Amino acid sequence: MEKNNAIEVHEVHKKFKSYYDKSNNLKEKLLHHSRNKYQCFWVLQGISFNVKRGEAVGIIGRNGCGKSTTLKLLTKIIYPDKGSIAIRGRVSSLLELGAGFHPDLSGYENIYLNAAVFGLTRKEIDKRIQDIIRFSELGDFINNPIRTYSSGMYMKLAFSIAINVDADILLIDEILGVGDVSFQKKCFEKLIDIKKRGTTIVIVSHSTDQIERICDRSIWIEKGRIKMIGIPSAVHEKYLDTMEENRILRKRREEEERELERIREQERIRELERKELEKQEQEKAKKELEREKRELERKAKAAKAREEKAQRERKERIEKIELISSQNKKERTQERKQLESLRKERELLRVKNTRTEEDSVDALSLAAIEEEEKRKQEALIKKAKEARQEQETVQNAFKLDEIPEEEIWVEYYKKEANRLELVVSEKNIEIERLNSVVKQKELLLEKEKNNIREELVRLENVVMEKEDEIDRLNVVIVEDHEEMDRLNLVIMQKDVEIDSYRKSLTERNS
Amino acid sequence: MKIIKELFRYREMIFSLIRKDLRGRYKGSVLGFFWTFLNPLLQLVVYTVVFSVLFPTTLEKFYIFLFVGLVPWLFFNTSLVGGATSITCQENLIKKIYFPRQVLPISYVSSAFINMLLTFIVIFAVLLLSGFGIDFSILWALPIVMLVEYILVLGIAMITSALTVFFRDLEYVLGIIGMLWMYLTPILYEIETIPEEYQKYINMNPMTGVILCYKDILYYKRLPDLETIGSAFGIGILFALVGFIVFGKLQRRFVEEL
Repeated sequence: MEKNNAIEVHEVHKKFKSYYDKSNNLKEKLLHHSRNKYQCFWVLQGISFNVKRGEAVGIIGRNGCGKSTTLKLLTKIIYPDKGSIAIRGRVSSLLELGAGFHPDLSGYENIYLNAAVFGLTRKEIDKRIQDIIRFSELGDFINNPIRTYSSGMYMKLAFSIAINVDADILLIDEILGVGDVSFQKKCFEKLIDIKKRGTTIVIVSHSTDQIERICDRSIWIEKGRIKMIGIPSAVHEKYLDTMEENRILRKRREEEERELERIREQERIRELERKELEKQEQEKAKKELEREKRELERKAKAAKAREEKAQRERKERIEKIELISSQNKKERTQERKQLESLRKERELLRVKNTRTEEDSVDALSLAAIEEEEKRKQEALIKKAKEARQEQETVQNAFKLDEIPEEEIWVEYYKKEANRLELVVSEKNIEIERLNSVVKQKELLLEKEKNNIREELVRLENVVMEKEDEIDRLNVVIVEDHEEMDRLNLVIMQKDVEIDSYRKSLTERNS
Repeated sequence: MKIIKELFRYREMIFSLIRKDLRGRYKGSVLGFFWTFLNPLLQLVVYTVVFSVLFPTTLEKFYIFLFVGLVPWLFFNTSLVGGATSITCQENLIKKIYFPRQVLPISYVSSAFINMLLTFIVIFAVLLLSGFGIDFSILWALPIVMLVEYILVLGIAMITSALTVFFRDLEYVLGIIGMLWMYLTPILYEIETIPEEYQKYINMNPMTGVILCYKDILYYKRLPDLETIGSAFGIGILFALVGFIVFGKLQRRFVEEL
């Protein structure tokens, strides 16, 4: 530390933690160690300056630039994270007036208390007490408890103590606004007086005027860094210019921002409108799509229904055909059976026929018998003739000899011949009857034969017809199958179409 | 060294804080400062009733035995529990103005110490009035023991007050610890009466030596062993050193934590 310097500040950095959720109890510290999240920001980023003994330095800068932090560092209320601060001499700070005041104690007692906080011993205070009381302009109020004081009185007392500490270094933070105008003036004069006595003063203020009147140098801090150090008027000119520029800039920026905001707002509104429109359109499209979808679905449903109907019909037709074919089959079998039976009948008839033929053979044999009979008859007739000749001969003979006897024989033969003739005629009648029977039978047979033949032809025709029908139906079945296949294909196509519609719908929706 | 120099410069602040504390302690109560004496006396009555009527002991004049241990213990306990909040209670002052922060625990412990000294007036009165008597020839050892206790208590208060800034729960945890600590210190009993294997643990307690010294001087009327008082002194210095170092390290971040 150089001899002439009262304060040396070297590359001072100060970091502030702003906790998101500050916790000071053990439980939270232990349990939510990771939750104790904070954001670091460097209030001061490397500040270096020296203040010579007896020098008055003003610190200026915008709000939040770090000038108050610098002052707090100088008072050792807080400590720098990096860099060093060296101070020679007793420091008195007018940062927070009335610190340590006890409201129940009198002003007098509080002077002792507060001065003790500044590090004054009792003797030192005893020496200064009259000055302090005088300066505070409190008069007899000094023996009243502080809680009865007005805020002006309170501040006056606090300021009086702080300024009368007779420190080597006095740190002041924006406190030249204490009390009424006359008191302020008094304070100011006191400050100048103190300075003349060789006290080092550091003032933080926004009032460049005050700084210019007291300080030898000015430090301009901007965003945690020293922007300028020098003669107050020069620094302040720059500072104010910059501030004004900044102000104008800021104003312009604000205006611009406002303009921007306005434009953004407009854009936002437009955007909103656009979105609204888009939304509407989308909704419309969606509705359209839905309608299409419904339509398609309806169509698909109808197609399906149609298909089902067709299938059902086909099925019915097939069933019908099957029924018919089965009926036909049945019929055919029946017919076959009939045919069979007819055949049988025919067979039977044939058999009968043959029998009839046999019968005719019988007739022939009858005829043969007849012939035989005839022959026999003839033979009998011949015999009868012979017998008659013999008789005649015999008669002739007998005419000579015995006639009666001959007559008996003739009689007998005569009788015999008559009987035989009767038999022959009987037999002839029989033959005649038989012949007519045969003829009848033959006629019947013929008729029957014709009938059977006709029936046969008819049946065969029917069979052929039925077979044709079956063929036709088979063709229909095949056609139906083809129709079915085709419809299936159509359904598949429709399904694919529906799918693609759905896809496009969802795409559009999304 | 620098800190001691600075503390010396700020002595007036310490004194004024002690004054404020002593004057403010019973402010508003009818009996006022008289409570300083009344409070230990009433506690004595309670313990005497409990241990002579409810749990009779074989010790002769047990209330004397108890009283000479209890008063130094109360000083310790007050400093342990109350001293812990000495920083956090002065939050406004600390945030606003610079002064050596050690001033706060020192003044708190000192005021409690002065309180104990005042209570000793009561002890002497009781000793003399009860006919138990005081051996004045060994009374010179008493201030030494008190100083040893003061140093020890100061060290502990430094640590607890600094830690409480960071862990506010400590304030309440210490209340319970103080209660437990009391029973681990031979105040209500003689150390010889507890099982041998536990005696060494009791002896590890930094307060044991101090309390034993008090009892030696005032109850047994004998000079404490040099060993006892020596080790108590050693422990006291150790605690004070650790306390100051820890406090010095932690105090840099007080304002940001408060």
